Amino acid sequence: MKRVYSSIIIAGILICIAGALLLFVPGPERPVVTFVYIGEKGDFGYLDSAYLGLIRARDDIDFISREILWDGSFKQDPVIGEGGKRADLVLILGDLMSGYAESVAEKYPETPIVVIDAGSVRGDTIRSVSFSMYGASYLAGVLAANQTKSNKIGVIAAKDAPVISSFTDGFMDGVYSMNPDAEVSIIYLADDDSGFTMPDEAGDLARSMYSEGTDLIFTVAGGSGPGAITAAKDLPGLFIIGVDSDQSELAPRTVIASVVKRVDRVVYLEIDAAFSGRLGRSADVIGLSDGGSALIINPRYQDLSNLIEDRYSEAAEREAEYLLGKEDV
Amino acid sequence: MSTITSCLSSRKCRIGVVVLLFLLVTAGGYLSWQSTQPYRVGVLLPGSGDDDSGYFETLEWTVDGLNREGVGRRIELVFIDTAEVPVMAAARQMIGDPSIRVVIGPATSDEAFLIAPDFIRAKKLLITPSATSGDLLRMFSRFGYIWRTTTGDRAQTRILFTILKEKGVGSAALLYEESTYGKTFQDWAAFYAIESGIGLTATVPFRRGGDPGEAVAAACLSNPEYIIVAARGSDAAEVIRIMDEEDNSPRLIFTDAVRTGTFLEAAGELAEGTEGISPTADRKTGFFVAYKEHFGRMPDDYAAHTHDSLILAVAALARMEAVPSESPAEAMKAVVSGQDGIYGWDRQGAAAAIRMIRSGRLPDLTGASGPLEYHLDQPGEPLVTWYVHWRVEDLDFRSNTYIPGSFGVKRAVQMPKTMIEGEKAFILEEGKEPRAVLVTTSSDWENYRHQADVAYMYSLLLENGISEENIVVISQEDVPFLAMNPDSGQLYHRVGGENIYIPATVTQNPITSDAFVSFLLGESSPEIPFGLDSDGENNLLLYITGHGGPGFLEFPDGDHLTSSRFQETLQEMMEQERFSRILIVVEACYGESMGIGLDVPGVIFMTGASYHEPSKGAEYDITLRQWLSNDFSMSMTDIIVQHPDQTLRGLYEMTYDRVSGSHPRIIAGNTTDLNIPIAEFFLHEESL
Repeated sequence: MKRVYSSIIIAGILICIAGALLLFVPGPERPVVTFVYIGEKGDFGYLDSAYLGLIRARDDIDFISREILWDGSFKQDPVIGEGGKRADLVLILGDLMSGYAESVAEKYPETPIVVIDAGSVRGDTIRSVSFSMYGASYLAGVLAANQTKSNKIGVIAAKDAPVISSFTDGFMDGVYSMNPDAEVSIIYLADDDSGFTMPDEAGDLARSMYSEGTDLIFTVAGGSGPGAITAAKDLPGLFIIGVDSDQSELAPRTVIASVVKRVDRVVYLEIDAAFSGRLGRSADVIGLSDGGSALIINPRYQDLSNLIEDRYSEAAEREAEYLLGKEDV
Repeated sequence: MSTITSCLSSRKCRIGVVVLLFLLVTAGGYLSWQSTQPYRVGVLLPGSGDDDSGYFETLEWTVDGLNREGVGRRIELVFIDTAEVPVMAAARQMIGDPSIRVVIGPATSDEAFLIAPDFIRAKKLLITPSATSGDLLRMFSRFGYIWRTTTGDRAQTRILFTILKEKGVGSAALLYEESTYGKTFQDWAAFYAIESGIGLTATVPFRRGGDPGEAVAAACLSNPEYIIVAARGSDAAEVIRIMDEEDNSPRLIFTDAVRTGTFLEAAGELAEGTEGISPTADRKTGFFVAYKEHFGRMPDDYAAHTHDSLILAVAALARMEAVPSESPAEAMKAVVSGQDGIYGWDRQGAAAAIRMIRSGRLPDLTGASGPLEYHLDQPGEPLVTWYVHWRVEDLDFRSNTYIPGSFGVKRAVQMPKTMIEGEKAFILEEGKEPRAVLVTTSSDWENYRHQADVAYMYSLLLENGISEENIVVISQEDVPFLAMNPDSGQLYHRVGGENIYIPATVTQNPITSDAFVSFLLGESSPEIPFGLDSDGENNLLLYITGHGGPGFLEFPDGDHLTSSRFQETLQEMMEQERFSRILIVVEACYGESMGIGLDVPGVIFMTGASYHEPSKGAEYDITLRQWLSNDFSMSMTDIIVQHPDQTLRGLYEMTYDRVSGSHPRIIAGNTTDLNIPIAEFFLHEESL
């Protein structure tokens, strides 16, 4: 009888221990992606697009996302999170953080890093993806040449720099492919990055161009662009092609189309590639044919879509040639 | 092992181990069972109709996200559609369900005023995403059971004036619907007009759903540069139509109630170019992106606040689980005061924060509408809500700028210096015992606070040694004996305070302005059987509470005492030598308007509200459902008690500092000294 008692008690103790162990055995760990960026979400453009890519990927691929708003320091560790949990991928957004990406790679050589919207970055574990805007801008040029009545087309650009030239080169080539007689004038707002934040000056410039007969303006000037759009709303017959995000929301009757970087798509694809073991270790340039850039037509002007679709392949081919030419240089 | 074997060989030990195992299994079983029980959150919101802001779909989306992430328990929403079930009946169902300790809703302030007292009594939390009346939290915040995720419309009023100021506007009028919604804008328009240095030319009410023609005409007649319109969509469209037909020049700016499809439909092309403000999410959180991705459209005005209501509700339940000894109110206060790490608003961040709370820690909660931070002195009132300044373009609301909205600093505008300039020597004059006349011009239950203010002033003067025969009380004194008074024959000035009612009135008749003037001039009337018999050696306190309008005091039956007649009466009293000095204290809306231009030697005029500004209640009793006192009177009498040796100048300065919802004023003629002790009007030391 004693043995029976003892057996029951020992079995009970074992069951309790097993139960307790089961309670505290952790479930499968989810991978972690750290997303580092500069600026604030809510720009209805670049950063919001990146965030959209992140949440779409998170819905489809089960991972934990950490966000770090970079302030130029290492105060928040991009790899080691709360409780010592390590990131499985670090996504860094923007060319300005290339140096930061190199530092992270040096400190954590095991962690894959992807820098989006940046040229080649040094480091064996760093992949960079940059956007070619030539193809989408080429289509914008085709559209501009089709829409102008005065044959006078303007470009308001932030500054004369490589980051701008793939827009302006593509745009001009697109215009001339459609209308060799059109007159395109490019005006740079500044010699430095301040050209991205001069909306008042962009507005003045739009008014000045309009007074000289320009009836379509392509804005390649970041935060300055909305200044030109606001001015154009009061200038009958002047149309705008915007940039970065679908800016037709800002002025539905004025902005006929926008040239955009598909940051959302790139963020999604890079995360997907990382977790399916397809992440490359090189610099990549993506453009119109890869879905990295696009020309978005204002729904009010949907009838122009056919024109763009007809010229899509041509724009993609011209972009490939353009990029090849750049490599040769 | 041998120890265990030897222990098990003892019968006592075996029984002990079996009992221990039983307890362990039982406790484990209970914990397992408990952890399978869901967090049940009640929802009292409309699922259809005019007041529906897509609440249900936002809540379901939020719950789905949290349940996917896991917060430790499943979350279950218990909906009652207030578009189908009357809100009081729905509230009773929620209150009667012991498994529900937190309820989200209701949608409107009118509904919130109805059900809040019952929730407070039942000690259940009520979190509304969209009831934004200024009075709601002023009445109920101190209990800690009524919360909201959108700042009261006081903040909206402030932003409207800030926008106008930035536009360089010098004058504005307010056109508001007569409702709980419109009242907040009426309550605070003058306050923020003063704070922003904009002249408020008129505040004009109109009936909701009625013809606003006369009100529009009255607002335009005051010749403002802008008119702020606090109205619903169809009324606002009518205002625009009238303005267009009459070719009126003032421009319009609208409050949040206008931002509806109804407005665009009703106003048609006339809506083009109109502007206004509405609450919105903090766009920096990325809520717009996530919402648009899920629903395929931009969120409604209150979507972020609805989302945050749920985060708060579940966080409070998790806290109640972690610290069962805390009341729900204490749990919620703890939840919004956490600083142990910041987590994002989205499902991952919110779920992680709630899991932390469940484990006893207190993270810094963030919502889709921004950080979930609350006023320390007004629990339930968020510190900041984001607003969007919109404009209608191409027949749609386009977002122009995003503005963080708060009440602002208590008061930026300092006391008008001209009123208190002129230092003079302090002279404590020997004189007769002060005389006092305490008057309330109103009656009925909803004016409880007026009679309570007079009763309290009477008891204070008696305590300060002024004899009964030197105090004349003119009040109908009906409130203590009305059927709705559960404490018959009693009046309270503070919640939980002592009865302050002492029968004292010289007449229970409704008094007229004529009778009041006659009394002041020493003559009797059918309403007041004798006249004031003070003389040129008396210091006289004249304390008046009641309702006021711009340039008048209301008396029963639509009778008014105008400021000019009042001032003429004072002039006559001076000529008849009825006082040495007279301190007039007016506790009424627009009080300053009774004293503007007053320049009679020996007359000092104090009031709690500037011209165009309503005065505010101080303490609200949820059982009586009435304000018990007014902010200005309460502050002033407290200072008299605490600082009996103060001067009138000091009394005014301290009262100005203490009153938070209006701008007290003091007016005295050039020859009148303010450095006199308050004792000359409120105290008689010889008899103490």
